[in-house]
Formats: sequence, C-alpha cells, structure tokens
Amino acid sequence: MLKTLFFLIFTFLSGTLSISEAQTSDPYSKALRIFLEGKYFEASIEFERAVFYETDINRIALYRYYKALCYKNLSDYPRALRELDEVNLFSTPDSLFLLIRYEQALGNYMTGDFNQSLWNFEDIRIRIKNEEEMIKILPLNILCLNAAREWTKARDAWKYFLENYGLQNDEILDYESKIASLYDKRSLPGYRSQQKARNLSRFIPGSGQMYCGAVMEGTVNLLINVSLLGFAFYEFYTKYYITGYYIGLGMFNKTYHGGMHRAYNLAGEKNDKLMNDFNIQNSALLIEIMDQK
Amino acid sequence: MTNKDHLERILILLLITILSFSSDSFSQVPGDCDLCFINHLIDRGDYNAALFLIDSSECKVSENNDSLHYLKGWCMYYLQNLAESATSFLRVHPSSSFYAESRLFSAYNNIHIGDLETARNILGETHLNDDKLVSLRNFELSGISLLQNDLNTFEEFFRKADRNRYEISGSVENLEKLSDQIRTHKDKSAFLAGVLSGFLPGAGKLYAGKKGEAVAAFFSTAGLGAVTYENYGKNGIDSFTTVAFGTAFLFSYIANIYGAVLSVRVLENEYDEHVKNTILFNLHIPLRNTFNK
Repeated sequence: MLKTLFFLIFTFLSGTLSISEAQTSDPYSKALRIFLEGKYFEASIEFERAVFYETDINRIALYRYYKALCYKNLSDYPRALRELDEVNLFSTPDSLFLLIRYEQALGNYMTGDFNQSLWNFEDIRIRIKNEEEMIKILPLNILCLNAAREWTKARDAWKYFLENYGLQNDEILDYESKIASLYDKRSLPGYRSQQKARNLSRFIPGSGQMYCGAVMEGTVNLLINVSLLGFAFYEFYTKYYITGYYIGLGMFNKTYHGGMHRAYNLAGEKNDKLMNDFNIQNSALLIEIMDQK
Repeated sequence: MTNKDHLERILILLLITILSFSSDSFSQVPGDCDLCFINHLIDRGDYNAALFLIDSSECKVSENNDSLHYLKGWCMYYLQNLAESATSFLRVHPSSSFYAESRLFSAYNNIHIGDLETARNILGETHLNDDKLVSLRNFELSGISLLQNDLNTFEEFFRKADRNRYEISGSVENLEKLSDQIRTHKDKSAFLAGVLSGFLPGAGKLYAGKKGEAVAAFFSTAGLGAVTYENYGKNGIDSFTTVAFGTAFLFSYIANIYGAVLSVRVLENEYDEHVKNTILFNLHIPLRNTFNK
C-alpha cells in the first residue's frame, strides 16, 4: 500500500513538473507555435527570448532568422535586415547560411539596395555548391540583376534557370523565345539620365520633360516660359524696363528653374516605373514556370 | 510498525521534499513576466516589445511590482510618452531601490511637458537621505524656478546645490551663465519692427535680425513699387496695369509690415525656446550622470 502510494505521488509530481517545464522552459517551441498562428509581433518577442536564454551560436542564428521572418511578415524589411546582420555566419551550417543570406538578399532588394542584394547572392554562390539549392535562389537573383541593369548576366541566369528547372525540351524552347523577346534591345526598359533631363531643360525649357516621355507637360512648360520671356522682351521694347525686368524676367526665372528641377525628378520617376513594369513581366513569367512544376 | 516500514516512510518524505524543492526552481524558468528579459528588451531599444510584455496578462498579476512600474516608466520615457512615463515612475513605492531615481525622473518628465507645479510638488514630497540626491533635487528645483522666470527663488535653490559634485558641476555653470543672460535680456518690440518696415520695407526684419529676409523683402516690395511707378508715369492712374501692379505693391507693402511684426514674435519665441531647451538639457545631464542612464 505504502509502495503504491509512493509511486503514485512520484509519478504525479514528476509528470506535472515535466509538463510545466516543457511548456515554459522552451521559448523556441512557444515562439514557433505563435509564429505559425500568424502572430508575428508576439512571435518576434518570443524568438528574442529564445535568443536571450540560448548560448549555442548556431541556435541563436536560427532564432534570429525566424525573428527576421516575423519582421518580414510585418513588412518591416529594414528591421529584418538589422536582425540578420547580427547573425554570426562563420560557423553556421550551409542550409541555415543559405536561408539567412537569401533573406538578406530579399530584404536588400525590397529596400532598393540592389548591389548589396547581388553581393548576398555572390556570397551564397561562393559557399553553396549544391545546384538544386542554387536554382531556388535564381528567380530573385534575376529580378535583382534586372534592377541593377545587368542584362547579360540576367539573361544568362534565365538560361541556366530554364535548363535546370526540369522543364521539357519544347517548353524550354518556348520560354527561351519569350525571354529573347523580353530582353530584346527594344523591349528593355530605357534609362533616362536625370542629369541629361535637367540639362535639356536648361537649354530648351520643357525639352527635359519631353525626353522623359511627358510631351504634353513639356509643351505646356515651354509655352509658359516662351510667353513670359516674350512678355519681358515686349515690355523692354515698349520701354517698360522695370515691368519687363521684375514681372517678365522675375516670373520666367521661377518657371525656368522649376522646369529644370521637375525634369530631373521626372527622369527618376520614369526609370523606376519602367524597371517596375519590366520586373513585373519577369515575375509573371517566373511564376508561370514555377506553377507548371 | 517495522523498521523497514519506517525506512520506507522516511524515503517517501525525502523524495516528496526533493521534488517539492525542485518545483521552486520552476519559478526561475523564463516565464512571460520575466523582468530580466524585459530589461534586456529595453537595453536593445525594443520598447514596444517590452511594453507588450509589461502590459500582458501575466504581468498584470504582479502589477504591484515596483520593478514593472520602473521598467514601464523607462519604456515610455524612451518612446517620448513623458506623461505616461511620469505616472509609471510615480507608482514606484518608497521602499524600492528605484524610488529616488523614479521620483526624480518623474519630476523631470513633468518639467519637460510643462507641468512645472506637479514637478515641484513631486520633488518636494520625495524623501531623500543622501546629500548628493538632496543637492540634485535643489538643482532641479532651481531649474524649475528659472523656467518660471522667478529669479529670486532660482537663487535660493541654486545656492543649495553643491556645485563641487562632478555630476552637476558643468550644468551648474551653464545655468548660472543662462540666468545672467536672462537678467540682461531685453525683448524686441513688435510695434517698432512694424513702424520701421512702414518707413523702409525690410527694415523691421533687419531689426529682428533676419538679414536675408530683409534684403528679399526690400527688393520684392521696392520692385513692385518701381513697376507701379513706371506704369503710373506712362499710362496714368486710370490704367489697368497701374491699378493691377499698384494693388500688388500695396499687398506686398502691408504683408511686409505684418511679416516684420511676426518676425519679432518668432524671434522672441525662438529665444524662449532656446532658454527652455538649454535649461531642460542642463537639468537632464546631472540626472543621467547620477543614475548612469
């Protein structure tokens, strides 16, 4: 009787303690559960707790990776990048290294730092020799190369992707022709130099806007400038020197410099839009290929 | 009862005792209201995450915990929510080791948000035994008096602050210089600025110390005046251009007078703001030096 009582008490206390400890002493499991529930802010706190109580450098790297994923899901890419930058990648296993560098490349792409993103891909290529893994990173790599206007490298990456993705020969040929037309010189997004746009408007008001494709805006700007200059000269001609100088030239000065500034900004906006449209076409093609498999 | 039974009973009691003690170590296992971890989040600058944990249901259980109020006070302080920070700091009990620090920072937060009377009351009601802290309190009280432009009370508290203590010595000197400046400062007259601008456009702004604005105001108003005069001379008073440019000149002339009056008011506000910021800065430094924050 006494022995039975002893074992019952022992089993109860041991069971209770082991369950309680399993629930609370493993912040990583808790964080993962919250993460899978889609509560990313709460999960980011729990992953930080996991980091706080962990001493193993590789496990810390894994927790930081998940914490960065939380921020990514909250669309806070700069913070995700800061989190990943804290990871010591020296001794991390290749699989985790690949995941972390890929997330860094994505974060840098999303924040517009394309060169840094390409550097992340280069680092992956140096360390990871597994072709199967390399195929997985190529879609984002292609978009980054496009954004950096590395057309030849982007086409080579496309070629490698099509040949190694496991498509049928006829499918490869079909997509190769689509890629060829996409990267045709006439289809590539043109580049409008901001400096050139400004200088064009400096010599002929409104021409910088026309160079950026805003023909109507450029024409209106040209007409306003010509009218003000005409008014100023007419006033000089009719010997209204002060009116010509203050009203005509004064207002011309404002519209002339404003037009130059506008042309400069317009060129930047145009470049961003053209590149965005081009990468949307690339993304659509990549999704189509990946959906087939 | 045999010896064997007796031994078994002792063994059971011993086991139960060991297991019960092991359940004490459970409280050391990281739980949700983990002050050490919350402090770590604050050190990392993750104030929102720290606040989330402090306000979580797990921490609500121990809401009389002084450390929680103290940590919440710091979170709110770093998030620039100074009113909430002051309230949280005030909840720290006199028996807590954080009491003096919390009270002084609560007072400082109230000074910063402009509630000087509350700040004065908090400092007055705080029980301090340490000479260093008493000296610091007198210095903070002198700062409040200076903000209220009460120079006599300022002198009274200022004398009680021990300027030989390194934590406050630099700030004491700065506040002394500032009090001398306040004594000799003479407000500029907005009326005089308006009159000056009435005689000569731009002169009021020059009086307010805005040289660039004065030159711009003179040339724009005088220019429009010259254009009006030219049109009046050639076309007469009934001419449309004379009336149009005359109206523009009149508008510019009146706006210039109004602008000069505003400039002086802005100048005085800038001076008041400068004085306030200098006092706040010099009240803050000794607090941070004393509590290593």
